[in-house]
Amino acid sequence: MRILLLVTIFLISTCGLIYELVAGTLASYLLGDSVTQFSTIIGTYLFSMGIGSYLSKFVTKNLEINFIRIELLVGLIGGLSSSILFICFGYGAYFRVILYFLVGLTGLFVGMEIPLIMRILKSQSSFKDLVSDVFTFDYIGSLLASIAFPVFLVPYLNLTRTSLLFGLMNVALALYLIHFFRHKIHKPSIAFAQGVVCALILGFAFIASDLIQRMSEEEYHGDGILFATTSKYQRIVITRDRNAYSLFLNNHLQFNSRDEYRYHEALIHPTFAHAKSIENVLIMGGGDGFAVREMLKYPEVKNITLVDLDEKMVDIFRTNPLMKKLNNNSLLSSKLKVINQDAFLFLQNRKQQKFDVIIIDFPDPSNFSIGKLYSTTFYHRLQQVMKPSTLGVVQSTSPLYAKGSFWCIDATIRETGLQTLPYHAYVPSFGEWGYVQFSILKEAPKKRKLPKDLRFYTEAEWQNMKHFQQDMLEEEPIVNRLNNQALIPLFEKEWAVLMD
Amino acid sequence: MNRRGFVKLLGTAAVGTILTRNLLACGRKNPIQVTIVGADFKRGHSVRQVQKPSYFNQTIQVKNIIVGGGISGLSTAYHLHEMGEKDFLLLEMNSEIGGNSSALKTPYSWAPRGAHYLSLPNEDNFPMIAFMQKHKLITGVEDGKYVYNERQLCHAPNERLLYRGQFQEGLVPEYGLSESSMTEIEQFFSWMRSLKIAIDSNDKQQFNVPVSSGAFEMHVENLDKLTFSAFLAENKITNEELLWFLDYCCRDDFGAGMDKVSAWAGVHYFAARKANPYNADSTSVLTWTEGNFHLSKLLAESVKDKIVKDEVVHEMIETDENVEVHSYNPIKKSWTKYIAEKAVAACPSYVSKHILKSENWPSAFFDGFTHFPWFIGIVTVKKLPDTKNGVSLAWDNVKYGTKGLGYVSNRHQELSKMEGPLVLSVYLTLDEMDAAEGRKHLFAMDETEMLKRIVDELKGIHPDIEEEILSVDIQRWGHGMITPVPGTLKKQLSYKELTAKANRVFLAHTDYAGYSIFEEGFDAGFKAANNLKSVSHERLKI
Repeated sequence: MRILLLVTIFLISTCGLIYELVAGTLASYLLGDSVTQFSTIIGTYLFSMGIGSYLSKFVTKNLEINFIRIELLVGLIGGLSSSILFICFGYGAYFRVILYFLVGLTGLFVGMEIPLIMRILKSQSSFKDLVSDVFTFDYIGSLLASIAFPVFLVPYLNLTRTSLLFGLMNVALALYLIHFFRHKIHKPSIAFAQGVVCALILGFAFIASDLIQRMSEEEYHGDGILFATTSKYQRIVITRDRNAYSLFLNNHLQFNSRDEYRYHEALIHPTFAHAKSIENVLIMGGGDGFAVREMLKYPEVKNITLVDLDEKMVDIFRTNPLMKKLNNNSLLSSKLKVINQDAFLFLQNRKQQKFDVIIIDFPDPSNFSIGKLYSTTFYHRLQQVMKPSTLGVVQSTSPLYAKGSFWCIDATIRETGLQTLPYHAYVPSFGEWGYVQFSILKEAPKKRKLPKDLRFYTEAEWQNMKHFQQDMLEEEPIVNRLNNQALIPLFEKEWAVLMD
Repeated sequence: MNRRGFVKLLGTAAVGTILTRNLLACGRKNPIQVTIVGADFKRGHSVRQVQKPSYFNQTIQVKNIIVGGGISGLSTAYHLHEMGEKDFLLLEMNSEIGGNSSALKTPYSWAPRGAHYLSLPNEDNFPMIAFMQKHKLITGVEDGKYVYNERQLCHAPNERLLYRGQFQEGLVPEYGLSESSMTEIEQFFSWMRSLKIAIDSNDKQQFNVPVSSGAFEMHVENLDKLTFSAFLAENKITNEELLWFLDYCCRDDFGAGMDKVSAWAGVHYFAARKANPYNADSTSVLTWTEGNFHLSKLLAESVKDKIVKDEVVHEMIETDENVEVHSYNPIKKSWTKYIAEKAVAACPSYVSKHILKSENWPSAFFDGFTHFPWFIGIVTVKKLPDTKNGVSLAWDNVKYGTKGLGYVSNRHQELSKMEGPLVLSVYLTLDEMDAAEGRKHLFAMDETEMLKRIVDELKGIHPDIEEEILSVDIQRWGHGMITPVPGTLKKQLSYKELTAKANRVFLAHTDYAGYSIFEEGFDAGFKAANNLKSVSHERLKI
């Protein structure tokens, strides 16, 4: 019996730590800022365990059956916790309440386990041996959990299944204990039936866990969802397919880590290599930090001002370890100043400051709200922060799939008196992609030495990028103005044809 | 001045109807904050019984005096200043200028109290073009066409119509129309387009803005004599969708339907606008979050020190020597006598009738002008319920088949991504009864009743909107605007004749054009300023 109960201690401590780790990881994934999440989750959990330990003294009778009931509750609550949290994460403000409630509840019951089991075991050995054995197995269990969690469980099972699996282990242990203590329990069949119901719930959830984790987003993202959140402005979803990560904003693909270097090298280097000066840089959009990563390859860059409306988006890419790795910690650079503001408002308040280089990386013009950022009025305002020598670029959707839209952006920029140089590059995830470089004067480009570690862009490739095959040309492009927003229906129409 | 109160929608009114029960079942938890805003109509009404002061607290001598700080009065002042005249004053009854073109500041946005847009002027309207160039509403010329300030042109989507369950772009019903209906509609518009270039025997355009620059005299004997509906029936225009649209246009621009306005007014609406801008459509409009209050401010900019607010004029007495203006300031509780060489009565006809004592302007002239009442609900909503059926929120949003005018989204012209509540203006006419009766009804309605009409109008477009409403400000206009009923042009003829004989007092108001739009007020002011300057005082004496 002693061996059995020590195995029990080992298992419950493993399970307990797993629930804690799952909650911490999940909170970091969903809310960002892993330091805060882990420390508050661990704090809440340990504090709740303390309350549990305190409350355990009020359990005076029927220790065995009460221990088993607690075991079942821990299995059920802990096991389902990550599923519940994944389902609830869309509910914003209430999410944290549910999170800490579940962590607290799990901690409370786990906290009751050790005192109760010590009291069950106290007739078996001396107090000195009992304390020593219980804590030895408790700590070994924790070690095992902390190693298994990152090495095997998360990579092979994912968070939902990990917690469900350990929930099932808790319940299985309880069922075995019911059998073991059957003589000490009043009506063991009822307890057994309760245990089976718990096991069935967890088992069903385990089988359906894919559904739970993906729910509605399944149809948009074939890959596993690593992270999903809703900011004030948009739905941010990061998916993972083996070693590649993709970012979706409102279900529009923003990058795939396999080939984003092509997109971002084509966005940054033609302008950085040819601009007269690159000391002061303005980038609008691009909160993922990839464009900034490319800029930082030039030591001459002194100041980068990044204007992105969505604070949450920038936060994710500044703090999430995976994303930080992808953007090479670019958002932590001391050269970078992030301003979370609407681009129009930013330009309105900035009449004195001028930039050498301007990178515009807004989402595609798929609605009237974003369409304003592709209008003549916007490009007029932009000129207030340009010097005569400033060189800039606008990401301009696909000149192949949406050639009317691409040339509309080019014509709109030209309408405001700016010179343009349209070019394109092939990005497998997006297809043929277009950019429009702009300047006030048509000057001979400067030839700056390119950084060494580029994978796609070369000066020779630049010559090809400027050439448009005839299937990408448009005879009479229209101009996008605030009062017609001609780009929006055009863009919708062109992409709708492609989706049919 | 503002009456503020919390009104529980359908708390007391209309108990027992089916609608009430429905609303109570899914009703709001919290009452809506309702505020009655706007000019103190008691000030305006106080002049109906002319008060004779026992003594004047002060007497002021001034060369020219303008009574009324709406667009006509402001335009008079603006043009006097443009001509280099410095010796004049403008008296405004309210604490804010603009009249129909004033605005209200809500916690989230400005909202127009009345007029909210400016159509693009015709290219031969030189004073307007000059004003617009001066204030950068027109920024240049390209290919011989005017380039309008795109910041101020109404941003897309301009208007949408809820028709057959879909939000379509534009207000002329289109979705799923039969071939024959489409042909009938197109034929009507092409007929109207042909009238745009119609001229009279003197090469004068038949329809033009301002009205006085068109050959309006030729219509006195025909189009001015019948209603627009009678005219349409005569011309066998029967298409249901087209008739709804035409009636909507009349209610929107004239405050009353096509069975009330004259055929001339109906045709003028479609045949008088001829702008050919470089960077917009001819039917584009300029608009601002604060509506035409923006234009009031532009006009007032250079003459600020000439404007005296809170001056309620009780009498304007024209004598051989001068014009005496008796004015009461309800805040200072003091009377002022202004003695001017000449004056402009830039107030509505029904005010001039009471205050103007002049042999040149017989009291009978001021009768027979029709003004329908309006009220406007300025509704602050947390958000709009999701509408996935068609075009997204536009500036002007209308539902087909209703008598209402829909709503305008006041924050539409903001450039940055919209955050926080929306501010919607719901325009409601009371043209189901005659004008005077409607006016009585308007001031007899309590907050609950007005609120119900405003919310019902919104619910026609967004059934689930009630829960989203934060507050409602209600602006009432007893005399909303001049309605061009049959006989309007005849009235204009006598205005022309009387102006030619006028001595020291001129009138400037859209009432005398029969059409309450900015350009008419602007033109009235332009002409009044010229009239003040044209004949010298000396010559008049002879």
